[in-house]
Amino acid sequence: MKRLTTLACALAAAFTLSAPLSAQDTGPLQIDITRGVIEPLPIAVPDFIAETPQAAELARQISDVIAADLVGTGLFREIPSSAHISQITNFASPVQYGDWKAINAQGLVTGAVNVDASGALSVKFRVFDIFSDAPLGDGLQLGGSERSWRRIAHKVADVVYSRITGEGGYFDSRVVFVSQTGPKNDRRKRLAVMDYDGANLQYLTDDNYIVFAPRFSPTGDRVLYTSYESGTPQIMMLDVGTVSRQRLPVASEAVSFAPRFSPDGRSVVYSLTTGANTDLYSMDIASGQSTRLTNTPAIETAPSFSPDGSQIVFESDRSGTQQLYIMPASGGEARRISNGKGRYGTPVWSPRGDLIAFTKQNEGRFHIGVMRSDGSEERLLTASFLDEGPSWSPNGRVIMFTRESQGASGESALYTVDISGRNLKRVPTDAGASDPAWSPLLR
Amino acid sequence: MNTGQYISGAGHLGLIAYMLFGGLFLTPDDSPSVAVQEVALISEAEFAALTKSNTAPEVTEAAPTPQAPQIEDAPTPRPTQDTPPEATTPDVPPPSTPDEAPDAVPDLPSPPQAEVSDTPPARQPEPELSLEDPGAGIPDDAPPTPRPVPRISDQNVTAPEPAPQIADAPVPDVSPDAETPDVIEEPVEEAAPQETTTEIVTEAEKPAGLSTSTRPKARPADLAARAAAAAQAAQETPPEPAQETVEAAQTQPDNSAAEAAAQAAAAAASALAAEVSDTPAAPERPAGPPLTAGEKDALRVAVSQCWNVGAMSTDAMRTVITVGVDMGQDGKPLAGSIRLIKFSGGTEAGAQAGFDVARRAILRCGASGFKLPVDKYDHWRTIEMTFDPEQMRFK
Repeated sequence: MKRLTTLACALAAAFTLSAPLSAQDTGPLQIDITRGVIEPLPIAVPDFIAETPQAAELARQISDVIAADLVGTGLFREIPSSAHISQITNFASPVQYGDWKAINAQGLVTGAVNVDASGALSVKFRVFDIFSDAPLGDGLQLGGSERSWRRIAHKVADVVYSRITGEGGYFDSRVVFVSQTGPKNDRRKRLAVMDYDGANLQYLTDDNYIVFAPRFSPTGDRVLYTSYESGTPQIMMLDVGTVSRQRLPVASEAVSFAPRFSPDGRSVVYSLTTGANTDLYSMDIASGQSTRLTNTPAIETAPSFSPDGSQIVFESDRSGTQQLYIMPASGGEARRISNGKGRYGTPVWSPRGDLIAFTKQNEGRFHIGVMRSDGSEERLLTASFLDEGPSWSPNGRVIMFTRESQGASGESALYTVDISGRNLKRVPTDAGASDPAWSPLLR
Repeated sequence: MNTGQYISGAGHLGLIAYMLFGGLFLTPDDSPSVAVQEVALISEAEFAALTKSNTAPEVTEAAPTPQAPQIEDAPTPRPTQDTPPEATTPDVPPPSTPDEAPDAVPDLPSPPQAEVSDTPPARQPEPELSLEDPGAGIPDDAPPTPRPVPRISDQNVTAPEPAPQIADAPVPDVSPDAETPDVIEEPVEEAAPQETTTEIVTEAEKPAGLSTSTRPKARPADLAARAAAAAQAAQETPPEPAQETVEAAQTQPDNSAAEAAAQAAAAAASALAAEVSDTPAAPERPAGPPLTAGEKDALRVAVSQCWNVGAMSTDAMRTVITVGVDMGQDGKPLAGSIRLIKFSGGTEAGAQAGFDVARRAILRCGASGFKLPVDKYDHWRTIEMTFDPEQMRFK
């Protein structure tokens, strides 16, 4: 026993001696940083250099569009050119980082625009991380026709956004929506398409028939929508390039609506009302064959595929109130994911697959919100008299939706909001607008 | 029987005599009651006079509220004290007098009765003073009227004083927690104290352990020598820690137990010495005490203020990254040394995006040099910063 006791004491002594030594051997200083700041990143976008005289105006416009794209995200703040110390006069000359640090510019975009005699436009640009004293990626050059200068500017902005934030942009994209004119009791509606920022507006249909709920195909070349052209709501598919349309092969006497493309663009999921029952169906576009996905006495509608095409989120009142459910893309057991107060509808799966946007009605107010695909972490982003119909930006960062104001003279308009709930903005449209559907990034 | 009648007759006679003549001797006892009546008569006259005097304040009853501002005006024309108090008195009286004026109106009839009974004639000729009394009548009964006005002004003067005391509050919050208040006072940053206070609490335990471990820092050299010495003469002369253990145990100082303890301690010491000798950084081991919690917090706050997660991708917001940076003695980070050591919870792209943001934060806020103690440079020659955006994520 004595030996054991003394041995234990000796070991204890050895550990007491070793403890401070091990604690002393700390290595580098360890600092944990868990709190930061959230503020727009200051960037400088000096006017691009016009390499030819006829490019001068374009160079200025392109710079303005790039800056507007970046600032419009709410993530960036442009430092006005009047505050610039260093002037960019030559695209190839080195950047004076100190001058830009002095005005606290953390990002810098420089570029040059060239328009040759044939009208071909080329834009080359660079992005710099000022405080790293280094460019962010290599320089890029984009080319196109002079008429496509806005798209080129959007593409430049996408690259800048991607390099600074680390996620894809959404500027080179379009939005299809329902343009509305006239008073509330006699609204004239027609399909329209525009750039995400409201530019380049084009009408796809006339206003003879009511249309609603357009949806872009995954490639952006086709649009599904619902039309009263035949007297009853019918699903139509429109080719954006040729503006030609055709009716989906659904029984003409049945009411079909709420269509949406599958991620591969080969099939369409939609709602079909037979009698007093509304269920979900899937149709193979090539063959026109429909498959029933749900079979309940409740109303199932507003289906939306997950990005991988394996699941469908939809709304149903099978529990008594309108709630969100997820089921396999081939149909089957559905599980409810919405558990809060109020009614949930129009779910849309994020392109990134992590979130589901929805419309929520609770206590007389409408909200646009997001939740994870398992129903957790529900967050309401907006609140108003009437918000509905969310649509995701191509990068899954921004949601566009319809907001309608109260009263007989109330007008509907399109708004965007960041998924953080910040940067709520109205999308400029000439007339009333509703039912936005964001396209994927153009190619 | 006769005796009984005699006694009865004598008693009755005595009673009659007491009734007839006893009043002469008892009149002084009854006199006070009469005197009270007389006083009551006098008091009625006084009440009449008092009612006349009270009518003056009663007139004020109809106009206490309108006269309250007049009273405010009254002090302003007043003499010499006007110039300093004018700035203050107009502000204070309006809240005080209108509030107290309604209170004074019901009080007027009763307080005069009590006061008049004491000194009725002296206060009758002062109707205006009685008006001012309600303003200051609550604290004092009959002080001279000009006094309450300067008192009010004094309160105004004292009022702004606590404001700077409140402003000084954050500084003492930081200093008591940190071991060295000087370091925290140097960065005059308003947003810092909140985070420093919270963080100091959490890390207060770590520096406590480190501070105790700093003492043995000089030992490594001694330890190596000691280990060699212990290996040679372990049996004869057990090292000091072994003695401590023996003393602590106090079992029995047998030679065998001491030898075993000495051997074990020597073995442990030699093993540690071998580890120490293996590490090349041993001779460069930082000397002096490590950074205090306050100094570390100052660095943490400095970097946090430039860590802008606003433009960070959602993927990067889920990624915890550890960034290593080598520092110059001037406190400036060496730009080329900033490196991503490890990341968790996200993709590599997210880690890269988070790293860019973290590097920007280190370089931007370290451009003029972090305020770190030069004498402890060895401790912060290399810093590993772990950026965890969990708390900054929108939820």
